[in-house]
Amino acid sequence: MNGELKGIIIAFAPFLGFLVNAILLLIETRKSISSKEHTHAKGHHGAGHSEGEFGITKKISAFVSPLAPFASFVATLLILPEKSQINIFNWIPLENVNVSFSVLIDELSKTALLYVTGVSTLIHIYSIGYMKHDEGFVRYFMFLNLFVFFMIQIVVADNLVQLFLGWEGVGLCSYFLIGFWYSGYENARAGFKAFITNRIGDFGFIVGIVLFLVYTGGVDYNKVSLLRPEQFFAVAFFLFMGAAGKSAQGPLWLWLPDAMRGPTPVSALIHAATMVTAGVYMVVRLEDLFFRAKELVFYTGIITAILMGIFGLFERDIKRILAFSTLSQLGLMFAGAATEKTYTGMFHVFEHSFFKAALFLISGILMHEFDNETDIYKLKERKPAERGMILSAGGFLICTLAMSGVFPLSGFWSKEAIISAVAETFGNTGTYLMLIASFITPVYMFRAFFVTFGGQRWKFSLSPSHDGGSLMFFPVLILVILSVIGGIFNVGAWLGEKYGYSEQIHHAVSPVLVHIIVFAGVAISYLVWGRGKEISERAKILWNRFYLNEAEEGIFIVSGRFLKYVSFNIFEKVVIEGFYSVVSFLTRVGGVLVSALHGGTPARVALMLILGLLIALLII
Amino acid sequence: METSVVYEKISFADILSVWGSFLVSLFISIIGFLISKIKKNINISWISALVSALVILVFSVVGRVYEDPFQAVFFDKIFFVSIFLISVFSILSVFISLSELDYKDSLSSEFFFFLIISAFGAILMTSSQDFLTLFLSKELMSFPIYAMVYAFRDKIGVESALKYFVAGAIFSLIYLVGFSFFLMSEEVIRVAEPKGILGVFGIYLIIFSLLFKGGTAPFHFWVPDVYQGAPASVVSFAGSVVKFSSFVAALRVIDITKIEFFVPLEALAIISIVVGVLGALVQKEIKRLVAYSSISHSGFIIFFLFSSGNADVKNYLLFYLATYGIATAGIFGLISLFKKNLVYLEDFVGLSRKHRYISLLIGIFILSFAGIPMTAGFFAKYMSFLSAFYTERILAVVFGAIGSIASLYFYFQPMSRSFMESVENTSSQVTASQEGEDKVYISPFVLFLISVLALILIVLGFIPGLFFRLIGGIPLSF
Repeated sequence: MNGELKGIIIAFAPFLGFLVNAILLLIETRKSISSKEHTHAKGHHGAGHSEGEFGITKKISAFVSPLAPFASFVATLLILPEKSQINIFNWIPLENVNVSFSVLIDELSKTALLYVTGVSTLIHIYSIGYMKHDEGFVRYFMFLNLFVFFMIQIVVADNLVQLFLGWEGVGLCSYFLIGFWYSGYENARAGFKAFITNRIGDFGFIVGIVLFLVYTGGVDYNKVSLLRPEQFFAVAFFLFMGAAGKSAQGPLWLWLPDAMRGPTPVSALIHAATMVTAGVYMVVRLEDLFFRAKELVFYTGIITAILMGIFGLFERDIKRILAFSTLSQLGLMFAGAATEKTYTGMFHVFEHSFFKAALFLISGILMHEFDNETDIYKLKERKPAERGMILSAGGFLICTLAMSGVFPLSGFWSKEAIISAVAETFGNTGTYLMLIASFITPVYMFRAFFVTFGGQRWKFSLSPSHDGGSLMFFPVLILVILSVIGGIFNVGAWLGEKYGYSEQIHHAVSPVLVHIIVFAGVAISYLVWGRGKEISERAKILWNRFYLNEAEEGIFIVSGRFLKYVSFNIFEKVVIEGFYSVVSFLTRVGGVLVSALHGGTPARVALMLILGLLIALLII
Repeated sequence: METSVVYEKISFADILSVWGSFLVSLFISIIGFLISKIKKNINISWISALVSALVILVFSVVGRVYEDPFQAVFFDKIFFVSIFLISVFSILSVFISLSELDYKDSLSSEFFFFLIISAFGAILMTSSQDFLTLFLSKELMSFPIYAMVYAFRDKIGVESALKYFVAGAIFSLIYLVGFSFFLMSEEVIRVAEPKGILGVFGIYLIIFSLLFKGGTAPFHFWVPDVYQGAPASVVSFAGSVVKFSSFVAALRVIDITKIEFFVPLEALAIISIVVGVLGALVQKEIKRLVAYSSISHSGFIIFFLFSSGNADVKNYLLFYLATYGIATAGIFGLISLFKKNLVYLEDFVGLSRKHRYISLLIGIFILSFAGIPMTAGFFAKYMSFLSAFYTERILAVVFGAIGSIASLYFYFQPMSRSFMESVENTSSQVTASQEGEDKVYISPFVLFLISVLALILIVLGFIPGLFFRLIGGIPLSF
């Protein structure tokens, strides 16, 4: 099998899956219309039952859909030793600007392809179990496959236009999947919010592409070198706006927590492991460009990382906590990507995808078992650990430790690399900010862990029957194992070699110090939330008397809520909604005025035409 | 004009193939028309119109580029592409009209005859070598349409036809004034580079009157009323063919005369975009909405005229007009299927429940209008921005970008309504829809044709190069 064929398989296998699912959906709709008419004629009122069945279309879809990303995954594994740039076809053949549709295979895209296709294969399998009883099963997989297709386009693009195709495509699939259960008003609203916020980012992205085109006369990545020094910042700024929109950084973070209304595997795949990392990928890919704006990228990232960690402390919804942790980790990735060793950001993306996907999938198992309950305090009452959901409980613990960066779990290696790189590039300020961020992560993550699984007698029995059935059990198990052993792939060193950093990572900050800080965070979390039932009666009285229950909800409640309130209200209500309402009012007034000029008798039309002609003659 | 084009040696067969095919085609449609007029109970004029359109379609495929011995028409690549597209649009319009008009009625027999005559005018208009041929072909195209607008013989139709006629007459006058200025100054009727200032002014007036036909603001006041009052099939013809020929003719005139026309063109483009977008925002009828959107599209098409000398840009213009014409023909074809049951935007509510497939097709055409990626409209808009960039008309690009973002609002109006279920008064809705369904007969053949159009838009949305390969422009390499 030659490289070209592998490239085509990587790029188009998920699209094939999408087409198969689209055909299945057409068949299914036709069938369901006829069956509905049938049941109506009979006068049955239980029409909803037939849709829950696992019919033939669903079976085919369940078989084909995971196969599509898996084919890409296998092709990626086969192409690993190679390095090539495959031009599939000339997409927009113009004389001056030639945009090709191509598959670019280098270390960076290979790393990204591995986790995109690998994690999405696992999540496809998990989804079969999760969505089994949903009537929109085929529609769901259709969008999921399409999403993987567009995500791969982002990764393998060798020019900004193909990147933009993938960029818009993943966004589109994301809105559809957030509003998947579109009957709910809130769900539709969340999808809409994501859409609006992303528009702001995309606006910047388009301006960035156009500037790039105007300055360099092309859209290929390798044209970066043609930019003049004074042009760098403008292009980088606008492109970074796009990256911040997709990766929910800075003021554009608003949409991501609300995006959690979609099905949980979607949150795991799109809003945690792959799509939201597209911004980081772009920054790393265009490192020569973004290096000129490294302060912008770094401070946006690190401030988001710290702020979102604080916001995560005030959430009771497990998926929203995970969303805030994603935001926070994305901030760290941007911080890494802003350093001289850009690959550290990508390294963290790679490792992060395992434990974050696992965490989300575990929350999915919990929701699946406990009637879509997401409140951590209510989940605690269901006592998941005592029911033998040991994979959920243990996996959550392991992934939380991995995210905190504890040796020797996967997160340790990448976080260590980022801290050292930041210390080298940004000096003491950067290092302190990084340490604050590493302190906050264990506090809010262990809060979620202690509240949900703490104070229970764990029943150790590792069996799929307790953890949502084997279709959901094994993907999570694999992801948890990967989160443990993620370090052995040594992706960091591999990526580093590409950039000529073959020497061992220089530990600017002692790993021991980082571990002390992390465990201090764990300890605080344990002291506040960890003891659960073990609090003695007297302490409990004290606890209640001093309203420490309320304190539990927020020692920082005033400051934290205030910050959130300000950024939410000022930014969303005033800036976004205000802007839109003013614009829509003005355009409506303009529209009424314009349309008032039209119509009327033929004589009036003639008069207006002559006036129009006079205007045109005046312009000459 | 195109000195680089090497004309092949002219043979008798070539002359015969051009004028012969035109005459045969004309003869067929006249015969069909006459038979339908004399024999009151049969109407074969639509069949003869189809056959005559097919004859010139075949000619456009087999014909060769050569120099016209009469110096009246350019037989170049644009000419053949125009014949091809215009005859395809005419064939579509014939089929669309069949579902809307009562074709057994002998009164509608002249409709199809007019359609073919108008198409002839449009073809000649795209490739005239002198201003006299241009004027005559322009009028040949226009007059049948005035009558076609009145095909339903209702009150609103006669008002629209009158408005269109009056407006057309004013701008024919403007054309003649411009032509006489040109003639005074240059003393030739050929389209040529003017030497005196009076000639330049004359050409300005001529271009204004061509842009008027294309529906450009501020010469657009007839557009909403005519679109509203005319039958959907006529609007589909006018929107695709008239716009096509007017802008191609304007491109040729600007290209040959080489006049510096940037500032007024940029102003017209911006006015068109602003007026079109603002006007469309408050419309409640689908035809008026598409009319305003067509005004804003005229603004985008003017972007191509900025750099008319560029060979690439000519191809881009053809691409834009072809895809725009396809989308217009498609959407009015679908509207015509519903006769008068799909007039207001509110009529779209719940459409996807009753006619799932049709609402999907409407969605594709509207997305193409809006220039959403994965439809041909995206590349069309992209090319128009690119053309504006070539000459660095940045202000036009800025207005174009704002306009295309704002236009999303009204483009999504019919779509969001068609996927919306009306919660209130479902009972009255149901009875209304049942009555409506009795009236609506969806011709499967027309639906098939329109599906092919939608498919073309999607395919071109992924591989726009296919079009250029078809018309022999920039080669596409796989």
